Amino acid sequence: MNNMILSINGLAKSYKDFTLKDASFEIEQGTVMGLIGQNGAGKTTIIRLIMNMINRDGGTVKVCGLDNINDEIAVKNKIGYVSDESFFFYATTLARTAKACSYAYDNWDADKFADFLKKWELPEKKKIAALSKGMQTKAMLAVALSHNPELLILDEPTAGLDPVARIEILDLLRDFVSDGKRSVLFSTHITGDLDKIADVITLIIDGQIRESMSIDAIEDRYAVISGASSKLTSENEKYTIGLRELNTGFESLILRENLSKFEGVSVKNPNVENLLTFSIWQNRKESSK
Amino acid sequence: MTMVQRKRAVKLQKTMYLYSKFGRAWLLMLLVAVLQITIITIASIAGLNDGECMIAPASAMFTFVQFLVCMFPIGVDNDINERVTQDAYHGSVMPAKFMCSLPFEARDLLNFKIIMWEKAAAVNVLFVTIGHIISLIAESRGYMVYRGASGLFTIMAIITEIICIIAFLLKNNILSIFFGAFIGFSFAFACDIMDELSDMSPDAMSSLKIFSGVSGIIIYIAATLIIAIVGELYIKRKKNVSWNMFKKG
Amino acid sequence: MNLFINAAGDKPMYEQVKDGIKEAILSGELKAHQLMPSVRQLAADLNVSMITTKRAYSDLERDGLIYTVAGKGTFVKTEDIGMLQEKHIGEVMEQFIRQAEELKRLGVPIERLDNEMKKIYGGNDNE
Repeated sequence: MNNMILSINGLAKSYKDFTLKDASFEIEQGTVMGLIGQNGAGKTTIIRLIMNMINRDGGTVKVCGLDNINDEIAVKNKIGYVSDESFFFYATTLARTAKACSYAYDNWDADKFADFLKKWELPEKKKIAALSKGMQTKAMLAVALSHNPELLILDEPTAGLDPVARIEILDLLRDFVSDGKRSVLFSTHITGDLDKIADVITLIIDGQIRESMSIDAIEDRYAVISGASSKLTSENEKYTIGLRELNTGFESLILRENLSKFEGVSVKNPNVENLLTFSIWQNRKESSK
Repeated sequence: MTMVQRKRAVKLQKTMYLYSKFGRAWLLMLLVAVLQITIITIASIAGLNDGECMIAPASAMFTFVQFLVCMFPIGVDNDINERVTQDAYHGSVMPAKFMCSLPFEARDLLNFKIIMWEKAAAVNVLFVTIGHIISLIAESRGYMVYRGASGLFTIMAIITEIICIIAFLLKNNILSIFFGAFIGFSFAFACDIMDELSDMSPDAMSSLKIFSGVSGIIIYIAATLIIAIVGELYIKRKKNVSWNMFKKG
Repeated sequence: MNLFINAAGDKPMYEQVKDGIKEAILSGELKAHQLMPSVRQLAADLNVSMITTKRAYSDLERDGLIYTVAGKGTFVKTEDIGMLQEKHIGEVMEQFIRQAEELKRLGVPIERLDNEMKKIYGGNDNE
């Protein structure tokens, strides 16, 4: 398997008004990758291409070394998927859904699923439509985790959850990758969650992957500076990434190696939100030129 | 369809049945139909007055009603399953996403539909066969059976089947139900009229005699097989690499 | 072990973790050959990714402050602690000198500096 749970190469998809170009990244065993980007940037497209929900125009997707189309069955057995909206048939119950899963998956673990339902107090015999959004998300997670997957693909899994549930889920994900063999692909807007748990961040803007780096490499490479407007000069402005000029001064992302070009500014370690927002602002600047 | 593909398609059917309210209804209909046929058979074979020689051709027509009765719930059932899994074609993708995340290939879905048709066809062949056998028994007991009528029935059944499989392949089951119902009822109506025309010469429909009785059974089974093979070939040729779930994609 | 991670700090997280552990070792809070929390456990406690704690540990190992025994865990090293403490004191002293120079440049008289020093070292006497 050469150590990569997921390997995407040159993935491409064209729509009328949006194009995903040459997307490539890899997820190592035992890691959590955060996928960030604006709405419409291509995160969902990438996930749909991995799940073979849509036709691709080019590139390859390999899960544990298997091609996602030629070996679709084996691949889908290895993937646990949580969608950003409930994917259950609304008129049925979780009990029947579990039965369906037991037919479909090679390794369905009915006991594990029952444990999850108990832990999260999800009703087995009620119509799924009657469950709250948060409960439906947890139900999707329960399904995803109950067939021994090696890769979890999560599309906004924490969006509908209350803060306590969010922390619980993050702990669960930490546990999931702790054996060093399984990985998570986590697409979300809630960058705070990624600060806590992501090992690698992949940033996508306008259909192109701009960064795919481990957290410590990001922290090594970038810093966030802020200071009085007077500290911004015509010489050092060109080193800013996504410069924001406010009434109270300015702030910007910069490469750490360029720190010396700025004097009298305060420096902060960049978090995932910084990476995302400043990159987007920089992108806007460059495309409006 | 290879054995492996067939197994997977059956697995998919099992998985989907849980979502279909009509999932077991067609079995119930089948049961009712079997009861009907049994009653008619007993009535036909146990000695009856001359005046009731209509029972024999009537039984042939009844088998057609069973055909409809089976096709309808299967059609509806398949439609619901269709809706559940292919909602994408109509805009909403909820359950389709779930199906897509399960370990099935898009091709399994197509194979599954062929299996559904095969089921209906098998039931249909059974009843056509029984209908013809009843006609033969009635004839051997001296009843007048409008051979042509039961032959006509075989032809109509073949036509309906062809329409049904086309509708399945085009993913339009409502079409198959309506056509089947339309043809079926118009035929039943025509047979009704033929019953009234007791002075109608059997020769008028002698050309159809080949489609009734034993030859009718053989022809019907052959036609069903041919339709099945055509369906298989069509599926083999179809390039169905992804689930093609979203209209845009 | 008390580690304070400041998300708004200027150093990368892994460096903050590393420095925190280093402090704990040099101050004697973490004893010689003491078993350290696993990379995973530390990440969970600090709410950071495992990459951060992994990197901190590997940097500490490279600097000779900790060692790993396969199958058993990570432990605090002792041998060169004394020397490392000296080095650490030297680093802090340098920082102090730089700050003092800055204060001098700003025109702070030595008496004021003296007073502050007395307060820190003298304890209750000068209250």
